[in-house]
Amino acid sequence: MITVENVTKRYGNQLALADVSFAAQPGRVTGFLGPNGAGKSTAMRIICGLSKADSGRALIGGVPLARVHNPSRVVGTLLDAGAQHDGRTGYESLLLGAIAMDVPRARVDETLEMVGLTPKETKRRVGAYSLGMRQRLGIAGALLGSPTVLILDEPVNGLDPSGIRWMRDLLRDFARSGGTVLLSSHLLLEIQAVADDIVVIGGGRIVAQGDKQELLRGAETHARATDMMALDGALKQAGFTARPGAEGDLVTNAGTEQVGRIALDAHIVLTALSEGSAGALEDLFFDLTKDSAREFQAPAPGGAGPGANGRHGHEAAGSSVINQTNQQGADK
Amino acid sequence: MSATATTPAAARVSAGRPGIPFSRLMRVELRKLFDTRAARVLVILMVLGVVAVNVIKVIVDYGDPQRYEAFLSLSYIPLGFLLPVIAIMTATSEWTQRTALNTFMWEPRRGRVLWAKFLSTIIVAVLGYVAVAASSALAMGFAGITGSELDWNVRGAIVSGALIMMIAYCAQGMAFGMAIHNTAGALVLFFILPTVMSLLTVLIPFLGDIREWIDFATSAVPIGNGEFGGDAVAHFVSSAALWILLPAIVGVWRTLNKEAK
Repeated sequence: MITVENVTKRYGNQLALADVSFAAQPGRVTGFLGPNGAGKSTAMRIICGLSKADSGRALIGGVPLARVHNPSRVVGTLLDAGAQHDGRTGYESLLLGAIAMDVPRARVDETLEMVGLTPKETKRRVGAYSLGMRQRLGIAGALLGSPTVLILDEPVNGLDPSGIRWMRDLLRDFARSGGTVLLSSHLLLEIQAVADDIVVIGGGRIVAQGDKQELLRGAETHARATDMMALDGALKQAGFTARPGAEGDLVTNAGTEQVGRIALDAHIVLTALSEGSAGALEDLFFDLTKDSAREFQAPAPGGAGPGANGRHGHEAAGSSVINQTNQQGADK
Repeated sequence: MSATATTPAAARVSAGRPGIPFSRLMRVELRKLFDTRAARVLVILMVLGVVAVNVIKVIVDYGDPQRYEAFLSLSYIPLGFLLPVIAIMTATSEWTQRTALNTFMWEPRRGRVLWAKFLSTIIVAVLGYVAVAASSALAMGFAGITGSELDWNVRGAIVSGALIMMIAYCAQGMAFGMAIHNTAGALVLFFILPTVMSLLTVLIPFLGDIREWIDFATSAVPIGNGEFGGDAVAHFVSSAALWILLPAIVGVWRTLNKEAK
């Protein structure tokens, strides 16, 4: 279990993390979402003890990582696939880890096979690897010590579709057998596909966190029908909003059951109906982070002091969803 | 994907002994000195350098009397030149290649990682000197075949002086590497700054007066030749404080506090 408690981190005048608190539970995959520069990687580095928080603390199983015996056998990390020596072979890079963690040499072969790197590939220098191969090597390094906690920063970057599918299964199996997974990704659909819990960060603040299903509830419904015009009219007549979606579907604030009933009453044939469909998390994501995203584009004039205060006010005035989920976060 | 991929046991977090045993850290850091392509190239260069020096000396002084000490002192030069580069890279590559992300996850206590790096470099320096002693003996053997008269006499002061300088240069290399965290930058400063220092002692009379106390290149010469008399040791310690201790303090502080990313 990973717990982050009131972590604040500043780089010079820039506030990277502002009183961030969240938890990743064992047996669940926790997706960590946020736009670039939101503080995802910084938070992950602080959890791993690679970066110091100005205040607050991050714990693994209730203990700071620096006090854990043989930490790499408890926490497997992949924070940057590029963080391997280009002049070392893939095999040697893992072997170093095996010596440090005191796991048998056979585990190196086993892990490399698991991530799908062939013996021929592992004898090559990492400098000659593609991004996808580096990711696989990085994942092998994270799994090497058979840890109980996985912390992965953008692990599907550069993986091919079969690699992405494999990764998804791996993380699910890992969580199912009691492991804790914290996974960041800018690929919203990836998070939606694999995460049980979601933590959304924007501008260094946690703007939402909780169970994925709960977060997505109340999001819009996507519907398709043989007669789209008729469905549009029926929905509006029933007092709901309806607008054309990106893929020729209709986006409405009515629930799936309501859309179904309205269609039934109006004798409209529905061909597709989904809640939390492909775009749902994306909508939620942009909705929750739009305040911090706007901030990002408009630099505060006249120094950082007022800027930081202004940001605070901005966040506080966020949507009701934000306030609600923030409250949940504080109660934990 | 096999089932062993995902068998996390119940939480094994123990707050007992943090990190990993120092012996494992030493094994890792010793390995890391030589398992990269750049390091292998350096080792090959060192071997070629030592062989070349010995072969040339045997040929040039064909049939003349040969001293074992002379072989030792000459063979030591390519080693003393290139070993510090390995010491520099052990400190810088963690940051330029970003392996610090892994290293400090294996052992979060960075001070111990630095100690392991320093001690492994020293071990390599000493082993390197032993190898030089052996290769010098071999060269003497060949000189004997050419009909040279052989003088096997070795003064202890020569050996200890050479060892002290080898360790000092490795320490200096690692100190520069830790302070700069960039291989190219550390290399350039390591080889250029002593020249700049010499230039300054010529240009500025005051610096010229205290040259032996502040110029490591000057104070190192007698020590390297096994001459510990007069103020030699005091000069050496004083200039080593400036050229080794000072960058080492900066470097340790930087390494302990720098964010690994």
